[in-house]
Amino acid sequence: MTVFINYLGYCLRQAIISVSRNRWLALVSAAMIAVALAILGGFLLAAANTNQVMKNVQSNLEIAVFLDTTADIPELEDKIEQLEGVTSLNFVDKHAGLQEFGRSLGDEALLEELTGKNNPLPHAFLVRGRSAGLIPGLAGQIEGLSGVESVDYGGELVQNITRISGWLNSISIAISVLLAVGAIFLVGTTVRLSVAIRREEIEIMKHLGAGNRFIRLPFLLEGLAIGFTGTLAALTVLGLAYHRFALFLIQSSPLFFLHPVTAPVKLILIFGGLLLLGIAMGGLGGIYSIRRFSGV
Amino acid sequence: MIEIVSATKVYKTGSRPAVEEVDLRVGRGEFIFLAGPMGAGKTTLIKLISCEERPTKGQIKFLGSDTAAYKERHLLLHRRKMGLVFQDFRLLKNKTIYENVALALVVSGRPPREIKRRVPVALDRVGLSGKENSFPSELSGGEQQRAGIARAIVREPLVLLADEPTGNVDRETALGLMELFERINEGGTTVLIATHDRDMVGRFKKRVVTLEQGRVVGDELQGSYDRVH
Ligand SMILES: Nc1ncnc2c1ncn2[C@@H]1O[C@H](COP(=O)(O)OP(=O)(O)O)[C@@H](O)[C@H]1O
Ligand SMILES: [Mg+2]
Repeated sequence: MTVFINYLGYCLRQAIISVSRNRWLALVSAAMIAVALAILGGFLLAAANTNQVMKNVQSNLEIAVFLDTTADIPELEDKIEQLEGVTSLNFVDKHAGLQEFGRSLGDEALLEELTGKNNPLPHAFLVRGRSAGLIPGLAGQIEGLSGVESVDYGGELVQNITRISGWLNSISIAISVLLAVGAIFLVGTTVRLSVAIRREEIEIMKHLGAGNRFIRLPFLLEGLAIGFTGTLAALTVLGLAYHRFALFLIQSSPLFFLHPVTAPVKLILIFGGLLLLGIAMGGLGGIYSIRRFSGV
Repeated sequence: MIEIVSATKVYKTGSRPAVEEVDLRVGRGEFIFLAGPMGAGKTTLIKLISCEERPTKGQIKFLGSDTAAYKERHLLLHRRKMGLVFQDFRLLKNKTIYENVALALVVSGRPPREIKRRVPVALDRVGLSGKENSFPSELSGGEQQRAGIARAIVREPLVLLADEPTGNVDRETALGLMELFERINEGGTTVLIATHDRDMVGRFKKRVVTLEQGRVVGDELQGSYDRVH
């Protein structure tokens, strides 16, 4: 152990010398890692946010049940309440519905003509289910009840978001993986150049009885350093960009469900994961370039 | 200390054995010239002793144990008990003399305190005090080889193996280096020097093991090397 610690200082110095000797290639490798990570990170953040929005939307998912004029409201209310999974049920009188509609248009006066007998809206129930997954089934059951004109629950919106975010996920993962593999190879090339430059030194160290691990360690450190630099750059950019994005959403979006992910636990998980991943990529590049060094 | 038992080495690309059926015992504290013309197998024999090469047949024993049984860890320890000196010095050009010598201790994980203590002692023994901060290119060939020797002895090895250590320097410098090896040997270190320099071998009246075409053709105490025609 002490042997290792004594040697670590030497390895660190070697790694620094190597990186500064190939600084351009090292920089390009780090930049490649940064780009790969920034894209991956952007995708992760987008996914986390989409997820959160979906949850918000789903947990607020309601079935609007529009009644026809013949409906027996108390009886229907009873029937719906007894359906498995229904948690709440609100009756929306057609007058209240119209007012609500007017408010959402921004000017209640606009609809003045339609009040009273001229109100074209039906009476309605707003039904909530225990979970988002139950909503389509419930909607189907309710639609079959007599006195129900139609039901509407925004199911298509949810399905569309799910489908699109699924696509985005796959594409981003594919791009990130490609970039990551490229970055690892680039780091490998950089480190291999260092190996080539230090070939003579390696030979001499072997003669002096340096073990493989000792010989490899500086190159592993070099890879790790490149990975760390790239990651740090990516996370800085990503962090700043996300900060702006989140602020913008919070300040400008009136829609409660479009709230960005700000929970520290989630963000630490994403950014910490990216940090580990970036360093690991650098390390992998380093290992890949020195693997051939076997045998004393 | 070193016992070689009918060792044969055939290189993958070689047609005839580089070393063939060699038997050799090297006692503690001995000074031995490994003599012979170019291509006789001197370098190969040295590499067999340092375990850089493995014998195709036969055994290389060190301190009573067969080196064939060594795992990587033993191999490293084995190498750290040896000091190696090369014809071309093999110093690192971008490191100072001090750093070059210190490297031997660094790779065996010695603490900085010990390195600071031992490197100056080794440099002093080879007469390079004051050249610590020079780079190899700033030294003469003889001085560079002295640095190489300092690096080889800084760990106080049991055996010093030198392959044509005087091959790249002029006669006078070579003589000085040989005298240095002699002094190191007087300190108790076993010294084995491969050389094809007859004249040098003749001067020192040491044990001479002569190789020719991979075979031992002579082994004389206080010998000379003049059999080769
Ligand atoms: N790595 C090698 N691969 C193949 N043949 C070699 C190798 N090293 C040495 N030889 C051959 O082995 C023989 C002995 O070489 P060497 O041990 O270098 O002799 P010396 O040091 O006495 O000049 C020579 O014929 C040489 O060509
Ligand atoms: Mg030779």
